[in-house]
Amino acid sequence: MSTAAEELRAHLDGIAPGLHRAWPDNRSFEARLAWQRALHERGWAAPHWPVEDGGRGLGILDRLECDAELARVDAPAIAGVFGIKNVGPTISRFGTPAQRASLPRILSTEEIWCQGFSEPDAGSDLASLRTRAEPDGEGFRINGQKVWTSDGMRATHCVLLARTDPEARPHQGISVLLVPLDTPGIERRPLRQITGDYEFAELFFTDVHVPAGALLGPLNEGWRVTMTTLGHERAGVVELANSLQRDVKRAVSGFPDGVADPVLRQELARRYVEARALGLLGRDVLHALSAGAQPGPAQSVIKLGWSLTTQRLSETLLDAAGPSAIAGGDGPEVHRYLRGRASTIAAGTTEIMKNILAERVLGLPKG
Amino acid sequence: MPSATAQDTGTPSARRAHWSVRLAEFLDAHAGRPPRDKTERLAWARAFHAELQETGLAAPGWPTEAGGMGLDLADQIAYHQQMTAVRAPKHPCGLSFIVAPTLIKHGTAEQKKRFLRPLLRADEFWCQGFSEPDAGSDLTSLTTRAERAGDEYIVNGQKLWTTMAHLADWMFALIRTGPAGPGGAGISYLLIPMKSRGITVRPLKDISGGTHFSEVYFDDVRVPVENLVGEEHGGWAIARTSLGHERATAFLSDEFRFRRVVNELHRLAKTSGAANDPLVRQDLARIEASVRVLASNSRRALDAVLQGRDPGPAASVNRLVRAEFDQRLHEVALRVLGPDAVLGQREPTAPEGGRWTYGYLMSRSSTIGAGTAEIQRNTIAERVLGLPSGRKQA
Amino acid sequence: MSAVSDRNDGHEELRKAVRAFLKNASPSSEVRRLMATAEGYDPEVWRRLADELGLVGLIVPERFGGAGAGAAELAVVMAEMGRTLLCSPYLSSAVLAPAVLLESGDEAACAALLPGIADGSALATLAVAEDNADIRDFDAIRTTARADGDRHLLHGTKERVSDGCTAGLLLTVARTDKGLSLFAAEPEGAEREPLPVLDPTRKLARVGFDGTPARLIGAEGAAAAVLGRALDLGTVALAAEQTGGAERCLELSVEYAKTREQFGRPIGAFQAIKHKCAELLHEVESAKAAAQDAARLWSDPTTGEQGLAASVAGAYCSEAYVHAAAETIQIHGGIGFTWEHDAHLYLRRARSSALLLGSTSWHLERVAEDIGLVPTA
Repeated sequence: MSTAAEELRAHLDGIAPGLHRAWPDNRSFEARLAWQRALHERGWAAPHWPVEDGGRGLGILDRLECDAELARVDAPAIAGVFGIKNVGPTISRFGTPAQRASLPRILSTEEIWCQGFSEPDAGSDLASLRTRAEPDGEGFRINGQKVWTSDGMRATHCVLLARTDPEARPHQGISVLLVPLDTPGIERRPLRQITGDYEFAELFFTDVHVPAGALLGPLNEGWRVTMTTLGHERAGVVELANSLQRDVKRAVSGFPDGVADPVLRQELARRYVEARALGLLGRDVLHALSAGAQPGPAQSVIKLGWSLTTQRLSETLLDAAGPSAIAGGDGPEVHRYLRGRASTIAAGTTEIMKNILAERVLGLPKG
Repeated sequence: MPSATAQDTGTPSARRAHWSVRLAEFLDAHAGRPPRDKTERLAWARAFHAELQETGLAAPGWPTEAGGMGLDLADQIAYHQQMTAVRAPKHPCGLSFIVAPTLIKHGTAEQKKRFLRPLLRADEFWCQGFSEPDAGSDLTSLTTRAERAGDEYIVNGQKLWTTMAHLADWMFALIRTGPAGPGGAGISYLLIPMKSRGITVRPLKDISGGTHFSEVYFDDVRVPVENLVGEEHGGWAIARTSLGHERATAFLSDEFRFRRVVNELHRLAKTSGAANDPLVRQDLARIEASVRVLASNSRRALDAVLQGRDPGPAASVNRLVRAEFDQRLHEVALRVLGPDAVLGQREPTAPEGGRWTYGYLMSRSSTIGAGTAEIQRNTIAERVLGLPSGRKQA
Repeated sequence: MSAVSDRNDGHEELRKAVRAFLKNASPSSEVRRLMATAEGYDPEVWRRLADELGLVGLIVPERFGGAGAGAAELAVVMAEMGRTLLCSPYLSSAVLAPAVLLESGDEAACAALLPGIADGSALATLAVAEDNADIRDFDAIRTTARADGDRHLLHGTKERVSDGCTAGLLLTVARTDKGLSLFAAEPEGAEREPLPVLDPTRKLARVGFDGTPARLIGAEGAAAAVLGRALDLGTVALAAEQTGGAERCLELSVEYAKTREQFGRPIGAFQAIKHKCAELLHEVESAKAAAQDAARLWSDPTTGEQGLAASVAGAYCSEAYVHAAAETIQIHGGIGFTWEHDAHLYLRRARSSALLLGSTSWHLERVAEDIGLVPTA
C-alpha cells in the first residue's frame, strides 16, 4: 500500500466508526456532508487536487488506492462529489482568480455544486441543448430548463451548459457558466425517480441574470471545457470498474453459506466473471494513464460493460433474494433493482455508447 | 381448433365430410413408409401429389377455378391436420407455392392453364430468382437485366441463393426491365425455363458443406414476352402475392415440426442423462415454454382469421420469433449433447447421426434467409408499431 | 486493424514474429487444405514452428531442451494461432503433453520424453475424457491400469483425444488400486479411430486400450491434481486462442460492414449492425483481459487464484468467441453462410473449443466454488 493510502487508512480508522454510529443510513445527504467535513478537517476531502488548491497532489494510482480505502470502511459518496471530482479541477484549469475563490469552499462543503447539463430535449445528445444564455452587456441572461440534476435540491451552485451562440453549429456556440442557485429567476423542483427517492431536481431558468465573471473558460467553447475534466474524469472509468468489482464481491459475501440453487449460483458466478474482466480492463487503463500512454479501446468499453453488468447484478440479486423480496417493502434488493434500470440510461444510454464505440473505435460510418 | 373427422356428418360439415372422407380413403390407400433412398423418395412424393391432384384433393385453399378445393380456412386447417397426422409426404417443391398465388391472381388465362396443373402434380419444379450478390436485404437494387427484342426478352445477370435450381424446370424471377426508382420501379416478374440456352447453374456450398443453394448465371438468355406476369416494370408489387390466409396456414406445418423436434430433444435429454443436470433442465423448460407460446400465438392469429378479424401483430412477429426459436432450440440441443457436441454433423458415428450439430449450423441461416432478423425487426417496428423509417430516401 | 488494439503486454516482438510467420504458413487456403486431410496438419509447418521459431518447446524448461517461457508467452502464441485457425497439434503436443509431464514431477520421464516433444520430432497428446462425460469429470474415468512386472496394462476407452491418431506418445490417466494415475503408452498397442468432428481444423480420436502396455509417470494415485493443473494451463492457452479467433471475427465483421452496401449505404451505418459490432468489441476486449490475466497469474502462484483465473477466462472467452463467430455469420448475411467464407470455420472452432477442456458451466461452477458460493454439504 502506498504511504498516502496508509495515511488515509489511519484517519479513516479514527473517524469511520463514529460517523457510522451517527449516520447509520449512509445514503442520506446529511451523512455525506458529515463524511466530507470529517475528511476535510484532516485535509483528505480532495486528495487528487493540487496542493496549492488544498489537495494532496496525488497521482492516479495513489488516488485509486485511496478510493479502495474509502470503500473498505463503507464510506458514502461525499456530499460535494461533483464539485470535488469535476468542478474543482476544471476551475483550477480554466478559472479566473475570482472563480478560484470557490475552491476552498468546495472542499469545506460551503459550496455544493450540481451539474446543469441534461435537458428535456437533450438527453443522450448534448448537441441539441436549448438553454440560452444571451450576452446582455454586463453578463448573460439565461432562459431554459435542466433535468436530472443530481443533488439539485441541495446544491448551492450549478455548472450550467448553455447556448451562447444560436447561429453556431450544434456542438459549438455552447458556454459553461457558474451560477449561484440563489440567483433570482431560478426555480427548483424535486424529481421523483422510480425508486421513490428524490436524488434529482429539475431547474427552471427565467430571465436569470449572471455577471460576465460567471463564464468559465472561453466563450462558445463550452464543449471543449466539458470534454476535459468537467464532463468526465480521466480516471472515472477505472473507478467505475473498481467499484463494480467491489459491488460484486460484497454481493457474493452476502451468501456466507453459499447458494444452493445451481442456476442462481451460475448466474452469480457469471456476474463475478464479468466484473473481474471489467476490473482487468480498468487496470489496463490505469497502467496506460499512469505511464502517460493512450488507454485505447479498453477505456471506451468499460462504461458499456459497467452498465450491462451493474444492471444484471441488480437482477441477479433480486432473484437471489427469494420470494420475500416482493413483500418486504422497497428493501435493498428492490431498491437496487429499480436503480439498476438507470445504469443503461444515465451518462449516455447503452445505445449511444454502442454507437460511439462503433463509430469512434471501430470506424464504422455514421448513420 | 376445429377438427374434421370422417365421422362428421350433418349440415355445416356436409361438404367437409365429403372431402375428408375422400382424403381419408386416399391416405389409407397410399399408406406406407417413405423409401430410404433419396431419389426414390422424391419419385414417391411426386407420384403421391400427382395422384392427389388427379383425385381432386390437392390445394385445399386455392379457388376451384384454379384447380384447388376452395375450402374455407377451418376446413383447410382440418385438411392439414389430417395430412400431418399420417405423415403424408410434403409437396417436394415448396417454392411452387410461392409462385402459384402470383400466377392465380396476376397470370393470364394461358399462364394459369399452362403452369398450375403440372405445378400441383409436382410434374414441374420451380425455383426462385430474387436475391443477387449485391441485392440481398435490399432486393430493389437488383441488376439482372432483360432487354426487349421483338417478342423476346434477353436476360443477362446473376441470381444467388437459389434453392433447387438443379432440379427446377422453371424459375420465377425478378428482373430489371427499366431504371431503378423508389418502390421497386423498373422490375418485372418473368417466368424463365431453366433449360434455356445461356443458363449456368453453379452449386453453392453452404456452411454444413451441403449444396442446398445455387448461383444461376444468365448469358443472353431468351425468354418469350408471353412469360411476363403482370405489367412490364410492375413485378415488384406482385412478387409477394399471397392467397387469402395462406400465411396463417403455412405456420401450421412449422408448428407440428417444432413440436416434434422438441419432443425428440426431450427424448435425447432423458436417454443421455443430460436431463439430470438442473441447468440443462431449465434450458429445456424454456424451450418448452417457447414452443407452447409459439403454438398459442399461431392459434390466436388463426382464431382471429376464422372469425373474420385481422390477425394483428401476432402474425407479423411469428416469422421472426420462429427464426430465433430455431436457433435457440439448436443451441440448447448442443448443450443437451454434452461433450459429444464436438462430434460432427451427418456422421453415422456421431450422436443421432450428427443431426443436432447439422441443425445447429443450418439454423444460422434462419435469421438470414428471406429477410434478416434485423430487416424483419425494422419492418415490424415500421409497419406494425408505426415507428418512423430510419432509411434515407435515395 | 488498428482499432482493435493489441494489448501492450511486453510481447510485441513475439506477437509480430508469430503473426508474420502464420500469415504465410496458415492462410485460409492452407487451413482448408489441411482440414480435409486425415492428419490435419502440415509436418513442414510443424518443423518450422519448432526449428525456426522455437515455439514447439516454448513452455518446456531449458534443461529439457525447450525455451523455458511462461504462460504469458504461450498466450501470445496461441492468440495468433487462433486468429488464423492454424491446423496443428500445438495444443496437444506443445501444451497439454508437456504440461502434464512437468506437473507430474517425474524428472526421469521428463528427461526421457520432453526433449523429443520440445524439438518437434515427437508428437504427444493427453487422453483423459471417457464416454460423453466432461473432461473435467474425473469420476467418470473408468480406464484401469493393472501392474504387470515393471509396467502396467491399460484397459478402457478414451474419447475426444486431440490429435489422438497422429500422436506418437499417448499420455493417459487410468485407475489403479491407489487411484488415478498417469501413464505413457505407445500408440502401437492401442486401437485408434478418428472421430467425425464439428471442427475439422482440430482432429479428435477415440483411443481404445485393451491390455496396452504403459509406463507409470509420477506417483501412483497422484494424477488428479497433476491432471487438473495441466488442464488448467490448457484452458489458459485455449482461452488465448479463443480471444485471437474472436478478435479476427470482429475484424472481418467490421471490414465487411464498412464495405458492403445495401439501401444506398454501408450496412455498418445501420444501428442494428453497429450495435452488434460494439457488443463484440466489448466482449473481445474483456476476453483479452481475462485471458491475459489468467496467463499472468499462472506464473505467479502467490495469489492462489490460478484455477479461478483460468476458469474466469475459460468461461468468458468460450462464450465471447461463440457469440463473435455467430454474429460474424449474421453480419455477413448470405455470404457468411457459404462454405467458402471462413465465418463458419470460426463458428465450428469456437463451438468445439467451448467443450474441449471443460464446459462453460463446469468453469462457472468452479468460479462459484472458489468465491465461496457452493454450499458445504
